Amino acid sequence: MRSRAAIRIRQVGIRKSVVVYVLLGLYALAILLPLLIMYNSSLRSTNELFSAPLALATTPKFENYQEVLLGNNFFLFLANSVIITGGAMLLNIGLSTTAAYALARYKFKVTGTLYALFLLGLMVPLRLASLPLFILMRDMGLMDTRIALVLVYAAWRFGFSILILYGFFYTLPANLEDAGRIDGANEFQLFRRVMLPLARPGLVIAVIYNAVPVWNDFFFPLIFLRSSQKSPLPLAVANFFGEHSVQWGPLFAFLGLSILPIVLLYLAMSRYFIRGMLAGTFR
Amino acid sequence: MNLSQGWERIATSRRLAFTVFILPGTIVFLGLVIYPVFSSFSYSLYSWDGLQREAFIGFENFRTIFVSDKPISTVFWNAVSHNAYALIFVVGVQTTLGFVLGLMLFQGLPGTKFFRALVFLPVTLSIVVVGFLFNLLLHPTWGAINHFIRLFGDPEFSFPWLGDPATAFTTILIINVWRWAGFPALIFLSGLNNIPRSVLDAAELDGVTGPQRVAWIYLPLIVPQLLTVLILTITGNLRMFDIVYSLAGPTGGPNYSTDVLGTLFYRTAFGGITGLADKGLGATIGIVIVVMSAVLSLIVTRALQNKRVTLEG
Amino acid sequence: MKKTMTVLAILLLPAFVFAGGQEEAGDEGGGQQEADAVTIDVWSWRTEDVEEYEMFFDTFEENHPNINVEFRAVKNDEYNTVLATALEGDQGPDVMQLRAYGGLQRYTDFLLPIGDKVEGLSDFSDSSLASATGREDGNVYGVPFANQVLGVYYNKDIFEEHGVSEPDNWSEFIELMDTLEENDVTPLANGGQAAWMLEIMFGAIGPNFYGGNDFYEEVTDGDTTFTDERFVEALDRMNDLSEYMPSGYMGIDYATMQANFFTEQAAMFIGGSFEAAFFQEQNPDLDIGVFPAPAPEELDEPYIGTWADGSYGVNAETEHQEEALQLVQFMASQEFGTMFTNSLSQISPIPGVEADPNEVPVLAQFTSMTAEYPTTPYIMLVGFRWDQPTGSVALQNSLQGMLQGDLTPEEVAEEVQGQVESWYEPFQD
Repeated sequence: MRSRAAIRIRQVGIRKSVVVYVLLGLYALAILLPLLIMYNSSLRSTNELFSAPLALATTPKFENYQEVLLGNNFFLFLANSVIITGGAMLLNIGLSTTAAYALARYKFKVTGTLYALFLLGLMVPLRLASLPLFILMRDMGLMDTRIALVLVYAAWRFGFSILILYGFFYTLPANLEDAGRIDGANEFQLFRRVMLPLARPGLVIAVIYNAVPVWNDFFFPLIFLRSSQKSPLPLAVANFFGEHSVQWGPLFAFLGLSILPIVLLYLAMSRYFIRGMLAGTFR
Repeated sequence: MNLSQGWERIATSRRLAFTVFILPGTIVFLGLVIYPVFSSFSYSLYSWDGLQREAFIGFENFRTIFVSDKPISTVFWNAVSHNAYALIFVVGVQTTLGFVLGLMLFQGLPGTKFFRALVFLPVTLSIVVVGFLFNLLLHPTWGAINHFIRLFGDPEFSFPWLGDPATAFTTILIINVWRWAGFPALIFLSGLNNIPRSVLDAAELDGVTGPQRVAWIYLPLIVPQLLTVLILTITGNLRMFDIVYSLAGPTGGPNYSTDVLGTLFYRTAFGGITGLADKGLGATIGIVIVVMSAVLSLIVTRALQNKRVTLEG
Repeated sequence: MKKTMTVLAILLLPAFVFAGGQEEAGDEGGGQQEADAVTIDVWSWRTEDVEEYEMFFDTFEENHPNINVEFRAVKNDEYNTVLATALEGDQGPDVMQLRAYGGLQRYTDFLLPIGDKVEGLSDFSDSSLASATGREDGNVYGVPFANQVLGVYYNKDIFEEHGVSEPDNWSEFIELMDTLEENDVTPLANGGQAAWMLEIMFGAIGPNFYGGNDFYEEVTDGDTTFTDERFVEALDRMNDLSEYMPSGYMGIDYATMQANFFTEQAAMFIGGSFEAAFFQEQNPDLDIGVFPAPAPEELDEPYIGTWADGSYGVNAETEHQEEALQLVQFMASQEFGTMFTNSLSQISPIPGVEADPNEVPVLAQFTSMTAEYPTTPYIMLVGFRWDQPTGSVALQNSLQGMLQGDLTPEEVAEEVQGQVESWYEPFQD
């Protein structure tokens, strides 16, 4: 392993390697430092933060986390977020995988028009549509339900998923399809057994790329939910801001906790995510 | 004909299978995105008194925004100029940085995997966190950034990066780059990885190295990736909202120096704290955003399509 | 992939377990309510005050066992969006918190006129009721809940340490700030990043220079404009204050300017009665007082800027009009006013309710300031928020330009005049 690394460094050239490492290191620092400051600050008291904003948390104050975790229904909001984001992603992926597959592998007159229409979804400001959406949800009897959010988010991110998955299905070689047909697979078996497994990296990318804005949104929960029992985390964070605008210790702890699930999801899936990205999802 | 036979017919007909695949998504998309958005676009053709629709006025709202001497027109063009500046800045800085990062990761040095995963990390952070964090980092007296400058330079230094109209917007754009640069980096890296070994070897034999290799080999061969990056950057730029909202508030302060179409749209359509919304003007700005995104994307696609180099042919 | 999924599942499992437990707990709480109780939804933008409001409504529910009040607070920035969407979609709350003056007007079509339906409402002061009155129809739509008063907070210990005292006029004020500055004390905690706080500062110090109510009447009648030299003079005096603000003041947002004051890093804070309780809460050891924004020597008395914060109104379409009216009736009572003042430390507009001087001493000081000196409307909110761009938005943004050094006071005046003129009819003649 070490020798292979050494060989690669020699291939690239020692001087060039050093430059690359230094630059990448600085970049990594720029990314990580703000986060480290946040987690460091989350372990200090508000007064300490005011007197010496950047000092290290030498005596970590875990009470900040205790306050957030025990006093604010944290786990309830977390579960709501998981349900809403998870539900929206399941629905979104279910709808967009099949649609993207159809657009990429079947050539009919409507495919071009439909693809363009779906991509329009990348450009529209959905907030503008909050009143028609509200009336729609009301008439479907979905006010104050998490289902309303699942539906809206799934639809909102549909265009993005199509963009990502279309590229995946499009590049799959045609002879796979032919081989499947010769083996007697019908259209649905072809999709499920042959094509879908090959598009798996695309699914990971679509999930991560779309879960982030859905997880972090607090606008639509404000519109569609009325009982705080159903609030997702970001809304709770926003409310926590209103209530504790200068209790920075607990605030940092809350912020640090609120991003953790999605960051962990990314880190856990990053291997597949990067693999998918490098396979040329966006081109 | 029994049920299973019917299914068999659907499952073997390409046309029917296509319909079954595409219909559910299309219905949800049409019902929950296209219908609501376009029905609210119709607001732009009316005058509004608060929440009440008044009279049909045709394209009067567009005239008000584009060419009237009303304050909204001044603010609109101010916002457009900021979006234009942001577009140039982001395409220039973020795309270049993304490309350089992509090139560095392409070297495949040991540890690349770690850096590859890291560059995308900021994208996963919520804007509430990014906003709060950078507001503090940039604080004139307490912030880490001024603190570092004090360590190495003027010990009295305290600059309000987000409070000075001259620097506020560029500061926000740099934070935007911080957040997003990893995304183009990975897209470019995928393009570089897909360049056939033989092409690179041939270039090496011909003595094409350094900047020449970047200009003659790498760039022409990643045009498809560049196209994607540009389209995502353009549409993202015109939708730019939450980063300004969280760092500079709904009016794009100080003194409108960071106001963009996204914040102007939100404020006009919903009225902010005062609640004095003008739905007609708000919808008009919404339409302008969509049309501009579509037109710019189309121009970029057309312009770059001719430059696409294919190796297969 | 499978392993990753297992890890994620384990990470998220506790979430579901906890959530399940808490939801059950919530249901039990609801089960104690009377079976046939009517539920009244109340919406507010006071996310800060949820606990207190729930306490007020508990008292109400005790006396009205058939009514169950559900209180929901929505973030200030998004409140209007949420309320407007719900009202338009026919799903509005039964009782809702309403913005004052111009901010109320867009909602009047959805509201029940309650002027003659709520007992004692007519005893409220005219200036309070004006905040809840429809501009076109003259109906009263809400029960006002708080009055706000502007002034200058000061840190008594810092003043004592440097041998200075409350200034009687503007030149003493400047002198006192010079003294503090010589002693390396930041005189003012205020900053310029939160635009609305600049309007607050101007609302405190401006009236003494533009001539308070006389100018207010003239300008609202359209007899003069904002380019009047009195108004420019007021802007100019505001501009003088920038050198007494902390270094890098344009980068100081609301939270940090407050912190500057309650952590005793600055001697004074120009603000309003709405901050009194907050300062006390953040630093109970803080010994603070408040004085009126100082007037020039030629003026006998300083003007005190005031306004009504908003009101609570009833949805015209509510299915439970009777119960909703009972609730706002309660919110107009002395009982409510006393609880409101004492637990939220705000000034109640309900006649006969006074702040307990022992609870938050500064609050009582604010009240006595309004009794001792002439009051004047907080100009842009009370007079110029009927349409876009509001006088407030115009003033706030151009004040930022002025404090930054990009605009002169004359240019600020022209900018404000130009923007307000675009819709304010008395200016258009």
